[in-house]
Amino acid sequence: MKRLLAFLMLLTLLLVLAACAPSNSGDVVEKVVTKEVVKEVVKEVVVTPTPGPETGPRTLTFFTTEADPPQLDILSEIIDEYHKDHPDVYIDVVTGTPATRGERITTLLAAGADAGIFEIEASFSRDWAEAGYLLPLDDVFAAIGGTDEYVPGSYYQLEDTVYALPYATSVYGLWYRKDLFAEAGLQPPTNYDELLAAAQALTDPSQGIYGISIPGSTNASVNFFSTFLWQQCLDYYTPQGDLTFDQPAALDAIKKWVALTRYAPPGFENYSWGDQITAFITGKAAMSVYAGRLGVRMPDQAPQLEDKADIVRLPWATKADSPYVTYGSWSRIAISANTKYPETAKDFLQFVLSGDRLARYDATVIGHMVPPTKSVAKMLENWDSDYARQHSDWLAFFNENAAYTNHPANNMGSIEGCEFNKKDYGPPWGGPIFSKGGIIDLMFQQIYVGGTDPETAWQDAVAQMKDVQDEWLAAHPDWQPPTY
Amino acid sequence: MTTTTRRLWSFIKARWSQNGSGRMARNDYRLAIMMISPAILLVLVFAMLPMLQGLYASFFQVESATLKMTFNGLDNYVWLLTKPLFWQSFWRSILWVVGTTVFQFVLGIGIALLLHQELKGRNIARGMVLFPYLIPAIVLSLTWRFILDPTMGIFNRMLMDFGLVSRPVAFLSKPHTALLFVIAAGIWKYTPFVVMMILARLQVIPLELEEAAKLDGASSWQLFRYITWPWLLPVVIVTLLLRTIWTFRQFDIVYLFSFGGPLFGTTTLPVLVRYLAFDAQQIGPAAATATAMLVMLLLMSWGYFVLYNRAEENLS
Amino acid sequence: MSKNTTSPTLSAQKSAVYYRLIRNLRRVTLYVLMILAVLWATLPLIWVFISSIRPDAETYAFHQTFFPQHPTFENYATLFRVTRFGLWMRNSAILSTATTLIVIALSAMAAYAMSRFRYRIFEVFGRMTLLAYMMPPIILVVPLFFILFKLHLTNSMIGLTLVYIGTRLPVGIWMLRSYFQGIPKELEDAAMVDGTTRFQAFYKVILPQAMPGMIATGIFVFSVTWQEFLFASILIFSATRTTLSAGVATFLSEDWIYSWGVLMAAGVMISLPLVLFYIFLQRYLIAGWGGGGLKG
Repeated sequence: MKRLLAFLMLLTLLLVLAACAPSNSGDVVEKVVTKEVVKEVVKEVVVTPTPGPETGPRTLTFFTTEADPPQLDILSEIIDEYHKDHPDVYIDVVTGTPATRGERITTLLAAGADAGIFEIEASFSRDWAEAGYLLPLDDVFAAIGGTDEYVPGSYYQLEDTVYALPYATSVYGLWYRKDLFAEAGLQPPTNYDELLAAAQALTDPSQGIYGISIPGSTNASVNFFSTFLWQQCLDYYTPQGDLTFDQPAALDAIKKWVALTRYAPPGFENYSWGDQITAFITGKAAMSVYAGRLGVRMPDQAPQLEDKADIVRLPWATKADSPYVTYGSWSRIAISANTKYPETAKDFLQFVLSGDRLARYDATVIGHMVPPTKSVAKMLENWDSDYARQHSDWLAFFNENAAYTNHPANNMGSIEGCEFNKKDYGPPWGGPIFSKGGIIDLMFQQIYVGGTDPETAWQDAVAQMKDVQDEWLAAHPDWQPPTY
Repeated sequence: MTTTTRRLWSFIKARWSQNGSGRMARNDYRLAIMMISPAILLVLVFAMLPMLQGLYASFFQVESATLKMTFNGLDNYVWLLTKPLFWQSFWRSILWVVGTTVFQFVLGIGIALLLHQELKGRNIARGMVLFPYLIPAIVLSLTWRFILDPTMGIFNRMLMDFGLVSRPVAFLSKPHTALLFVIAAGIWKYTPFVVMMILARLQVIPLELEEAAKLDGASSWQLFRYITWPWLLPVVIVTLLLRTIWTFRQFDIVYLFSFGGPLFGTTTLPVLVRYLAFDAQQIGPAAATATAMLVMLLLMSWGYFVLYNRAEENLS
Repeated sequence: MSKNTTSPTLSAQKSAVYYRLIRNLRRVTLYVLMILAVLWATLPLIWVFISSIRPDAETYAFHQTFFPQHPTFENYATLFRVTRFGLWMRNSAILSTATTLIVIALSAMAAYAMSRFRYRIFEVFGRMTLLAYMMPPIILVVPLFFILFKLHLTNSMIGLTLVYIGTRLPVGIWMLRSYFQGIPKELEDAAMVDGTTRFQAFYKVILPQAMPGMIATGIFVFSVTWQEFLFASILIFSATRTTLSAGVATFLSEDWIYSWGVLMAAGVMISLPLVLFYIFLQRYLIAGWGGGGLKG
């Protein structure tokens, strides 16, 4: 027994030693506590793994935040099909929430680990492409059909190299309850004044119904408010990167937006986009701003609303010449430059992002996931499902409005005067401003939750935006504003 | 540090092969070392080493994208101590620890005494009262979020049905009420732990003492005050120590409940560490915060040990 | 009870009635309190269960009824069909069991050694375990990621198990050490006089004595490991290798709840094994805690 114990102990010892000590030293205690080892660990971690031969059994990781069970279901179906044709290739699906995506991929990439194929956050695209973390995807892009197939601005390109390919975008609109509007003798709103009047008329706390749900949590405000700002003929920056959010008109937009929240359900200040759906689905909000996913939830969660709900364009306009702009951003996939099997990864990516695979994938949340290529869009037009047949008008709405999408972090200065002219260049310092819990989101939290008056909150936000930009410009003295 | 470990190591080697004080002692020594070393090794590699790395990083500026480290002395600590966010989180942590532990103990001791009475069905009750302790943090958070949700939660529904409020109250959207409910959830989950510890101690209470006191005509209050309470005290203190440590470093419940918000209203120190490391990409200050937490924990436990020793002495 | 009575028999009768009344009242109060305590502990869980058998259309109805009109196990079916719940459950079971067994074995040996032999190094180690025991896990997670990366153990269940063992051992040692101290030394001395070696004495005589303490420790380690979220969510990233808590967290995001009904079903399924496990071993638990574990 004692011998067995000794053996076991030796085994554990050897295992841990072999694994953790780079040199053959028995002096564990000493090694472990010296600073050099700590440094060594950090240093060696950043070494790039060398690409292996692309034959034999290979495992690729595929990181996605599209973790809705039905989406994962279709994804594994597609993976099975690929595996059938390529029996040596295994795909390991990794899921994460949008909130953890940043930390996970950042840690992996910083460690020099193989992050595999992953969904990339728009605000990180530039940094990572410049840092050399991303594999160029020009050949995949060309193979799928290049500029003939892809909607302009849907893929991520830096200096003529494509680094990320899109699979879908969502398009925001205003969902409203036809029955409630009819009862109140109202027409669906087409501008801000009508909207405000309707929201007021439909709010009835004694019945538990509120006019419009405005999401105010730290991971939602910026996306929703930006659409409002744009329709007021304003943007955060000029195309050259000069701050325009400090103009008094911006404060006016904030005040008008906040005025809407008087008719929002209790707790709206903590609503993320999920709650936005719930408020509408449970019948507690007469209007709700959201994309196609809200409709897709109806057959399961609120079948009684299916013929009582409809969607119109966001009615934020306050002037006759307000441009029509809505929110939307392309969800894109990139491949880690450190990946062990770049060719296999590209091949798989091409498989997923083309043909009926992409159509089936985008159809899991049909209408919410508007496809980036012309051929897939065609396939989805006559998609064979009850929902697609019943609500072809909604699906048409999303397709038509995809051309009016804009994104604060990816499109800098798309609104000049009252013209919408989409610019495919995001403010490079935009991360802390437009990301979740960024400066804009916190500004609204200060107003809704902290009780700060809009003017003070806006001034604070403007000051912070200036700091962030100055700091970034100081660190990047060579930066030149883009030319168009 | 290095010389100490070197000396320690040579000491171990010397004892390993010593002949002086006899075979028996040497064999014992070898056995003891063999028995303890797997544990030492694993604790060293997977607990101490990462902790030391964290400590080390707290003196550096770490670039989050490349992990390049530049020494900056105490800058991280200075940065931290001048940030209101750190101090707010600190006081919030104190509130969270004091709030949860005090109520846990009041409720826990009460329930334990209750379930120590000769009542029918008390064994089943004992079992059921412990359930919250077995509920994983993730389930706990989603349960309470669901119950408190202003749109679909049963809690608001009941408040409205009883006419207590006219419109739903968003408990988790106000910093103060959010913290209050996180504390309530903490109390709910960990009171059973206190019940468990106190009940165990009650079961081994020396009956002679109680009998003698009863014969002397002691009232139930006197019985509790002079017999039961002193007997419970050492366990109460140990449990208090454990609960304080765990509550202070508790991450999952607080984080999954409201993700540190609204307006940092539920950001306690561990949540702040996560925020700094991952959201704000300030790895150095995150490590400094963590180190500060460790120091606070050490101070707390030292205080309790002093108390514990005193309580044990009083008992004997 | 009352001092100024004229007739002693009457007063005795009176006070007997009075006493019985008080006694009954006291008992009734105690029962009421006991029921309240049980309700307090279980009502939220009952609500979770009720919500889990409610179809989605009713969960999202404008006027939700207290009891589901058409109870269904559809949510459970969805949970197992569209997520990898079964796999996560298996992973959690393997991880928690392996961690628990290894932690008990290693900490029993270490605790025994520390309780029987007084060497300086043990004292150092004792203090170290205390330190490790107090360490907030959030401190460890980033450095651990890099250590595991170095060991080629990121995204691996073995790596996560090692981390769990390393971070749970201090608790195990801490709990068992005082337990072993409570076992009289004479027991093994007697055995060793009979010619058995010390190690034999340890596992033949001492271990059986320490069984309740080890089981209590085991339950504790198992339950905290089963519940663990932070390490699992950062050190493992494959959907096929993750644990229950981290797996379920992927569809309980900050922004978006896929379906409350399915989540509630998941909540029931995560908690159930732990509750069953605990009911099964409950009697050891209280005995173990009481019999000396966790003292100083």
